[in-house]
Amino acid sequence: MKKLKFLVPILALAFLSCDQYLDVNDSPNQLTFDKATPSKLLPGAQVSTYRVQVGSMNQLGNVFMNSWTRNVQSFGNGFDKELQLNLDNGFYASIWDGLFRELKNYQAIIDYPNPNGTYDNYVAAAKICKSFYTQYLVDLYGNIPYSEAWKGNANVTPKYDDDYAIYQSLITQLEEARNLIDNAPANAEDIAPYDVMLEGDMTKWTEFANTVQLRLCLRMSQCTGAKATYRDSKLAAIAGGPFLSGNVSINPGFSGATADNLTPMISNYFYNTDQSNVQNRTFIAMSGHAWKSLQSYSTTNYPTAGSQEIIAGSGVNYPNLTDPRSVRIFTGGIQGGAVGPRRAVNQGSSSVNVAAPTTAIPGPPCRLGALGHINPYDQAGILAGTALGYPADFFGVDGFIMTFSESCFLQAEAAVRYPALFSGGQTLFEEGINDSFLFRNATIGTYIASINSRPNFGWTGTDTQKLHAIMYQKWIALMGINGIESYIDYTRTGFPLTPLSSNATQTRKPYRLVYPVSEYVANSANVPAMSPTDPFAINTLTPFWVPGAPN
Amino acid sequence: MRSKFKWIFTLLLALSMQFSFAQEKTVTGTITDGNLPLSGANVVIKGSTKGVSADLDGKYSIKAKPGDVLVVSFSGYEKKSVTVGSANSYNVTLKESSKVLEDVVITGAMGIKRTKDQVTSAQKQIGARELTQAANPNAIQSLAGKVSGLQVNTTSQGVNAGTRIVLRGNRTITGDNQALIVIDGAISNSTVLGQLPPEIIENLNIVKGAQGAALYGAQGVNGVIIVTTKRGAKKDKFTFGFNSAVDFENVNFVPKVQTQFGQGWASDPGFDDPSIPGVLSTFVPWENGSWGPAFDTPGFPAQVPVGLPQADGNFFFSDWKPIKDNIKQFFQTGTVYQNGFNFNVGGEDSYAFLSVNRQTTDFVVDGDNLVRNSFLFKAGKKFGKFSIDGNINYITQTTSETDSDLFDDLIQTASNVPVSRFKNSGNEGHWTVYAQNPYWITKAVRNDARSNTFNGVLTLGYKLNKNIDLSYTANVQMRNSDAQSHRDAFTNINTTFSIAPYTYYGADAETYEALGGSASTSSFFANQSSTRNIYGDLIINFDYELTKDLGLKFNLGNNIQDRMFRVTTQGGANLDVPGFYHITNVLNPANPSTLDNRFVQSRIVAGFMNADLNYKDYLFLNATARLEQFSAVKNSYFYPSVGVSFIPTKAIESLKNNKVLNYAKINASYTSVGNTSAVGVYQTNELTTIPQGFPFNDLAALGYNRAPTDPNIKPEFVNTFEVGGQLGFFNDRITLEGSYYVANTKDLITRATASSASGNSSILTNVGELENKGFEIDLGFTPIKTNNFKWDIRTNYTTFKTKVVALAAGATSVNLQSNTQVGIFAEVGEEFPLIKGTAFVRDDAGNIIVDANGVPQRTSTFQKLGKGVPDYILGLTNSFEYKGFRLTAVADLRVGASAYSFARNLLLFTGGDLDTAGFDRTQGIVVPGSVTTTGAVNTTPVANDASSVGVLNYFTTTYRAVGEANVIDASALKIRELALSYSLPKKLIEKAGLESFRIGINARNPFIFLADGSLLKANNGLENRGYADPESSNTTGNAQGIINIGQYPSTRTFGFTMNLTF
Repeated sequence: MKKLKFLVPILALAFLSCDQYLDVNDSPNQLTFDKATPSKLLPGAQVSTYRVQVGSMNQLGNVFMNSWTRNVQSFGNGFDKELQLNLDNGFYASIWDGLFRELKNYQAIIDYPNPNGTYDNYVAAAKICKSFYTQYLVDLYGNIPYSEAWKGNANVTPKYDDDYAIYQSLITQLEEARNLIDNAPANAEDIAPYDVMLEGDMTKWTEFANTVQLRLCLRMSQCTGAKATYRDSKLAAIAGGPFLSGNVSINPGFSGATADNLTPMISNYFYNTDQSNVQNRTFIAMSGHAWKSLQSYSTTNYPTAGSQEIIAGSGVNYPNLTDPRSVRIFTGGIQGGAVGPRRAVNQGSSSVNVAAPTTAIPGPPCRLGALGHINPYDQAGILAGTALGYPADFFGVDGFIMTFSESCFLQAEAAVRYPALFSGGQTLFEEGINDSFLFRNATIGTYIASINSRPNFGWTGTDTQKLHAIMYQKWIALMGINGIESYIDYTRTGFPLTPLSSNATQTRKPYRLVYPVSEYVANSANVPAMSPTDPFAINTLTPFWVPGAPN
Repeated sequence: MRSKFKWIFTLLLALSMQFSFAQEKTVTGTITDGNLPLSGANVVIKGSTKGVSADLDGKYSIKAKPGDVLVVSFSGYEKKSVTVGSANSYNVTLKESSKVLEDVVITGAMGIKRTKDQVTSAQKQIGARELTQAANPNAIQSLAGKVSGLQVNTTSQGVNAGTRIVLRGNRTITGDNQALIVIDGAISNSTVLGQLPPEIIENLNIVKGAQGAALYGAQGVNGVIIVTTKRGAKKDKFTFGFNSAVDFENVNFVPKVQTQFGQGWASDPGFDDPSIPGVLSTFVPWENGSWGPAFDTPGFPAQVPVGLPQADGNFFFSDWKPIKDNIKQFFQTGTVYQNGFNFNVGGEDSYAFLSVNRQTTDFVVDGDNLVRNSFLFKAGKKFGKFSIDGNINYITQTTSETDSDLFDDLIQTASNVPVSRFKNSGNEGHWTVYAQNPYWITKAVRNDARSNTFNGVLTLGYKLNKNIDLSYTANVQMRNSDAQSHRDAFTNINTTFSIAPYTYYGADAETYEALGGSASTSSFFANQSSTRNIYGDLIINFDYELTKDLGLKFNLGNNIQDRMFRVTTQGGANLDVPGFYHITNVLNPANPSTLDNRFVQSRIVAGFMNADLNYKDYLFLNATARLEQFSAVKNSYFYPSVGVSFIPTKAIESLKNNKVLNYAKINASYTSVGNTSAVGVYQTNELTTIPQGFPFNDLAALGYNRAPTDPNIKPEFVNTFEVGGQLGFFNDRITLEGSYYVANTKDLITRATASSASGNSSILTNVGELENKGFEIDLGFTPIKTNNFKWDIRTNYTTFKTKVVALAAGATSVNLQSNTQVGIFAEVGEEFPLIKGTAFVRDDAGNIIVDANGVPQRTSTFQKLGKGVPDYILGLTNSFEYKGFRLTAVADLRVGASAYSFARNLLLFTGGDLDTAGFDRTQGIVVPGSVTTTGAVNTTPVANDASSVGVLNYFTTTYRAVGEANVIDASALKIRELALSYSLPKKLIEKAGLESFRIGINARNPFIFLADGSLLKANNGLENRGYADPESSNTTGNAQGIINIGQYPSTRTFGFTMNLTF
């Protein structure tokens, strides 16, 4: 037993050095979050939120607005829930999950220690972006978590806030942002190297903030009572602008270097880095409704005159004008190795059924046109003839978060609705169309004169007809670019008139989406109960700005 | 080889000559137990190293001098000594030892050896013979069906099959549930065990009971499999062994498909033969669908074009009729060769053993192969108070595998397609434009890997005095892996080809892309990873006889573990020169932020103690304690256990030497161990992530980590109470063993889904409680045991239920994986893992309710559809021995689990599933057994569409989109092993200098009976008509219950083995 004595210290020693021995838990692979300064967070947040916007949000909007449909010639299924209007808690949950999770990085910028206002410009940009995207969450879901949101581990079950209260707070955020920009101290860091949206131009950030505020106020255009009073006061505050003088675009250095470097518009809908088509290029087809909206009667195989009406019984016929943008937004499908004749598919049809009267149908339908989507203002130099490696030249083009034309149409709507505060409706309307033509690289010709002779599509007729015309032009301008905006316009105003898919199982488009499954799994105590049919009815779940929505 | 063997013989002969003296004579005799010959009994001349073993008939022959004492021994029998006199023949009868069970020494946790009586929780030993009887190259797979409480799943097929080893079900929902693997005293893993040639394994001790594994702390929470490799015999003799096995492998089954309708798409009438306009109707030769015309359509051509035009511009033509199991044509007969030899030399205080094994496998998929070489060298020496034992195991393995997702492409094949004719057609001439040619994939997509595993164990022992000794076990495990994967491009999609004389929508020229086909990008990735694990145990062993009746063995130890892993990956898309696979040839190298480049290190320090007390020879107590700290988790944790066992047949006078009940044991134990396997190294720090899809083009970005870990996370504690017993009747002709246990997991670690509004997608934290209850019974029966014939039956029954008792406040379920149709959940009050998904809306009588258009209604929320674990597992081993023959059969039956099958989902889409046929498609489909919302019998065809298009739309979009429509019964009865071996009689082979010679034929998984309604009825989902092997899974993790299509069908093997020693 004597010999045991020397064993005890050996064992003890083994434990003594333990603390140091076990101190190997600092990650050599990932930085800790306290090292993520606003300059590291801002570019990632800007790109990540835009990816959600141009991806699932854009796609859903374009299918819901009957611009896109499935290429039934080549695909047996796809867009089934969207066309049948089978909404459930898995339906486009990526919008909710994606936006909420990415917005956390803007919140982290806002919450980052900011002594002496060093990060004021970052905070201002973060607040504006947060308002811009949070508005979409409210517009698509009504009441959402807000005051307790983005707190990370500190609160993984945030309570829900009233959608109108959130709107008010979003406007406050914009006000605070403008205030920070206007009063930024001399030592405030220049965000230019890290701002991949507006390149640190704080004047443009102010314009963007004003335009977002205009959009928030116009969403409330159908509101009455105290909400209308509030809306009018906030409209008055920004009536003098300035509003966007150009696009809010994004480009963190897009290129064809890797799939991650591609601008998401290209990687989602057009090309792989080896310039081959992604599947969506073949899968997404021009819908019959988009065809009829953009092509004249004589170029369309209308079976009956009755089907010239956008919606049977609406009394509004398609404009009967071939829009030069049509061939930019959609190009003929590939047939026999070359670009074939133009055809389209009525949503819900199981065969390709819309084309010129002389074109054989079925056959491959039109697909998304590269020149109308990924060559804005001929950035790639394709039409100018300076491009060398088509389509590789598309790889570095900008993405678009809010276009100048959208800003023009918002102001035109404000001029129609609030003539006491805003004016110059027709000019702004035509400026919006003009910019859209430039964006799509289409020659405008006599288009404006022609369309202005058609009520509901151009600047003529009653205010209601002008509102329809604004929504219609905005729809075309944003088609494929930011589809969700037009869909929200539609739920708010019913414009532009949009037919349902023939295999829809509902009688109208939804006012909103169903809360996603992640909420029912992880935040069941707070998330309101919802049935799959709730989005189609006006009830307490309907966003507050929908006409007739309670409270 | 032959000439070298001769040389060895000569050497051996020369060596043995030295021991030959004059005056010796040959003594012979037979050793029996009074009835049966004791084949293998040892006869040793006392005081010498000379000895022989008795042959199969119990006969021995030894050279001895008069006066020599022959010591005759046989395991399980009492030794007997015979003095050689003038006679030349001595028959010996040995008496069966009453302490037979005690003599079996079992290696437990930390290498502590105990007798069976002393073991206080359930353990089961599997010996070399049971392991290798069917020559399975994977020791893990060959455990299936043989051990109660153990579920071995082969989750993926291939040259490098994935396996999942779970003892007694699940105790955690996020952490690891798989058993710990310990090889020769050091913690290892299932990858290494799977690569270890079964030939070099001496035995496996499967420690099911938590108490037996408690000394391993958190790592032992799921039980442990203790592997002991062979060591040199103690015979002072040089032996050489040789083993060889060859197996032929082929596909067991493929999904059954309908044979009523051929290739085509019901809504696509575009393909036409202008000479017989309209006759082909919905037939399309490049369709992946089986939605074409019926094979018995009157007037249809006897032969049709199939696939795209070939390189010569012409179509293949084939008969317009179904070909049975046509996709089986794709698979070849695979082979598995295993060859090995070993040298063995030993003595009283030293030994050395060398084993060299080589396995080459050619899988049933062309080009998939494996070559594995394994070297094991063990040696040991005792020198006075010191002892040293070392072993070095080096395994080198090369594999080449294609993408198993090709099975997805393969099952999209109409039954009229003559699959094998498209072997050289590429994608351009494939039988469908909507899936890639699997033959092309086998060449275009390859994952090649090389790995080298080095494992060295060194044990030093020092005997201080008769009561105290020390030992130190050091283990270094190093593993280098070098993997390359590449995918060739397919871009030839815009070339125009003629389909004349046929037309498609009036045109006779087409392109691949215009028909809806897609290009695929080339890519190349390479990664190198290295693992370096150090394991060290210092143990001080005390052995005291406290009083005459009370003994104490006490072990005190310290354990350190240091684990390092580094992986470096490079690669990207678009190869400049096709077919050259190197990073310099990659045009678009992937951004490093998207690649796996990391270094991970973790350490464990623990102190432990073990105490074994025995009172007389019938009452035993074992207590263990471990204080452990894991570097990735704050604080250290204490894991205690205690167990007792009692042997009534030795304690109670009236039960001693009982003829009926010869053995009885009862044991009980309580264990409290924590599990930290779910906590990732470094993850308790608040870390950043790299934003997904950020270009990193001269600008960097960081983002919030959306899946954080609670910084104060602590182990989930599993408290297990177990009782068990063993009974032996009629001298162990009947044995019965059973255990019952309740394991409660507190502070369950879960990656709980978070509200996305928090900015998190999930958080890993301590929430909830799990209960795992179950029992297992092993029944052994030897109905016949005569001189020449022995029949053994071993059955085992396993059942357990893992129930979620509680989750975090407000949460009722945790989602482990899900898609829009189905998910795997842990849900309060339900068994885990639970399969939930969308279901048909039904009335109270279970009828599907349809709307006014005959369309079935689907629930908007997920319903309970089944569970991913079986209700019970029944294993059966039957063995017959007749003289040198041995026939064994191993089977197991698993009942009660369900699985979501993506194969069924796809077959419903392509119209290949049996459910899409069996009726006249042109009349539409009325949902079978459906009622209207008013409860009336429904007669409306789906979507009011009484046409083939209506049927097509129903199955492709409505029906298969419902989770319930794809959940199949995962029950199965498998004949796992059939083996017949014959050991040649010794007298026949000894002239050739051989000590033993055994040949055998065997089959693995020769028969599998699925729940397809024939033998097994489908009660837990739809019939499994060959959709998938129910063991397969899209994960080796806990979320069992979803079977993706990227799983090859299971295979069966038939083969031969040969083993010889001399």
